Amino acid sequence: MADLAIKKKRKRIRWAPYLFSAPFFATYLVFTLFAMIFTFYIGLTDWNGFGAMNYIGFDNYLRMFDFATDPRLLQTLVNTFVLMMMSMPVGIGIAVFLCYFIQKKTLKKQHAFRVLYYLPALMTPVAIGLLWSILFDYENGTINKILMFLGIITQNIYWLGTEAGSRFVLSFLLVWASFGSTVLFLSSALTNVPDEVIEAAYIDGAGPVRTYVSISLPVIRDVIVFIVITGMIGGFQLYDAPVLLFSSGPSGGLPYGGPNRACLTMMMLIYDEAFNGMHYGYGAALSYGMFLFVAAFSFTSMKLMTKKE
Amino acid sequence: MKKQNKIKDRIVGYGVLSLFALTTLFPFYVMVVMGTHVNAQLFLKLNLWFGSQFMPNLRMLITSGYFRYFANSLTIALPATILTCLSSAMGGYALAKFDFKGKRFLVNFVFFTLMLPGSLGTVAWVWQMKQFGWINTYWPFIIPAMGNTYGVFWMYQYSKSAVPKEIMESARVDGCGELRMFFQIIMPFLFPAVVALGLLAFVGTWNNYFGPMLILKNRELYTVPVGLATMGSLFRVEYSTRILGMTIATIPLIALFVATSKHFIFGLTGGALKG
Repeated sequence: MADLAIKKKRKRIRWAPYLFSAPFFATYLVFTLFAMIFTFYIGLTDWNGFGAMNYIGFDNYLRMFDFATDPRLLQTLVNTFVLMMMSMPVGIGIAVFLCYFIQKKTLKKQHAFRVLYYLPALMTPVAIGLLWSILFDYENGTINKILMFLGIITQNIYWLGTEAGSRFVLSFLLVWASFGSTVLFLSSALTNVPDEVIEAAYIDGAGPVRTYVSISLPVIRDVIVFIVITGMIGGFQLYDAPVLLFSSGPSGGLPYGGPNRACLTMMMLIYDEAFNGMHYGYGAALSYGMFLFVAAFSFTSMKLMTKKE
Repeated sequence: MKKQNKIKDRIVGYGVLSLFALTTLFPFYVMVVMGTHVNAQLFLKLNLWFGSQFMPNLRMLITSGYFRYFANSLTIALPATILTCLSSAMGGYALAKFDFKGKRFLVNFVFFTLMLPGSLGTVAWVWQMKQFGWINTYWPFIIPAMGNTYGVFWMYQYSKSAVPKEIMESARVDGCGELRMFFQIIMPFLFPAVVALGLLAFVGTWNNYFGPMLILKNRELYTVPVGLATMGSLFRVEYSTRILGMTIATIPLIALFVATSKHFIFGLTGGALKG
């Protein structure tokens, strides 16, 4: 009898892990993975969202890389790269700098600061885009008014009306919205650095700054790599904030993607093609173009950052 | 001498941290202030102090149907968050704490899918939702929420270190069923990570604009972000009212985060980072 009961239990244990992980794997396969694979197929058709899907071979995929006739994919790639270069080093730099003070044992109440820095990450990206379009508006923006009041400028700056200006505002927005989560990740990781290691550095005569830079930071390098990679994957998929940033400031609307499409991201291009232009086939192909670049970027940066062993 | 150093250290430290905190909060402050002014004067001068138009703006917001969007967002975000937490905790725990055939493959599968950008399948996803007859419904944001790769990965990492195997063994010896064990004994160990994941899932669903914009065609179904984005162009709502709407949309998230921040940060430390 007892034997039978144990056998029964064993059987149940064998089924349990499959049962427990089934909801995740089933939904992931049916919705996410299937959609990813089927998007590749739609890229092989001329589907317009309503009619039949006619197979047209690799036309869409080839057209996308024909930069002479349609330079937009190349342009979004350049934009993404420039925006990353303008925002990520600054955001991570600020976070590394602030974490030096946050991890200090002589200070207290660091928790409150971490909470405050994270608040922008909670705000709806749509609202962030709208708010910043008002802050940096040409004629009515708060920033121009403050600069004018302080006597720094005598004429309003057309922030969102120029390529450089709009890229500056967007990267400023990105830094503001994301440095808090970098602070959270870094400061959480820093608590994992063993105290003995730090004390040993002090005994060897290293100052606190030196200890932080050459002992603590290298220990958490994996976390920094993680932040860079996820930041990059997020950057390619950026959509809400840049769309709303140029949608309707008090001084009037600006073109989709900013002046000369200087802030057009890949996701914005895909949306514009597929859902505004009704070229679902081409939009699907562009999605894979985006994927190709995401993969290449993250792979290269992972190799570059983990090489220095 | 040493004490003096310590004081100097503190002044510099708090000074730097506060400076960045004030800069971070400034846009929030401007937003809150702007929502309390009458629209006609909003852009005439620099408004850095509260106005007297909070109530009229709020009334206009109510008549514009804004709080309908609020109820809609909650209708989506609550079930989506609960399902994400459940499927992720169960899946992550199963992958971390059981030995079974195909385990290696499934774990590697989760690691691999982490690298795929979520929006890769958007075009086909919209097609799929049409086939399902889910256009103009909330299902597309509730059911697929269970397939959260990041959540499963996080719970997998967290379960590995947070759930002691001995407890599972002794529960089994005592005749506890697997399902009951998960809910009554395992869940308390996973709690900090579940809170952290729940917060992220809630914020992510609440703030999602792209999906609802593609799926929801009727204004009565709009969520907060879609409502905010269309308010100006479609319904000619004034700026000050719209800004007040932004403030109100942000408040629940901030309250939720402040209330759970201790768990959130603890869940972060114990989870994804230890891998």
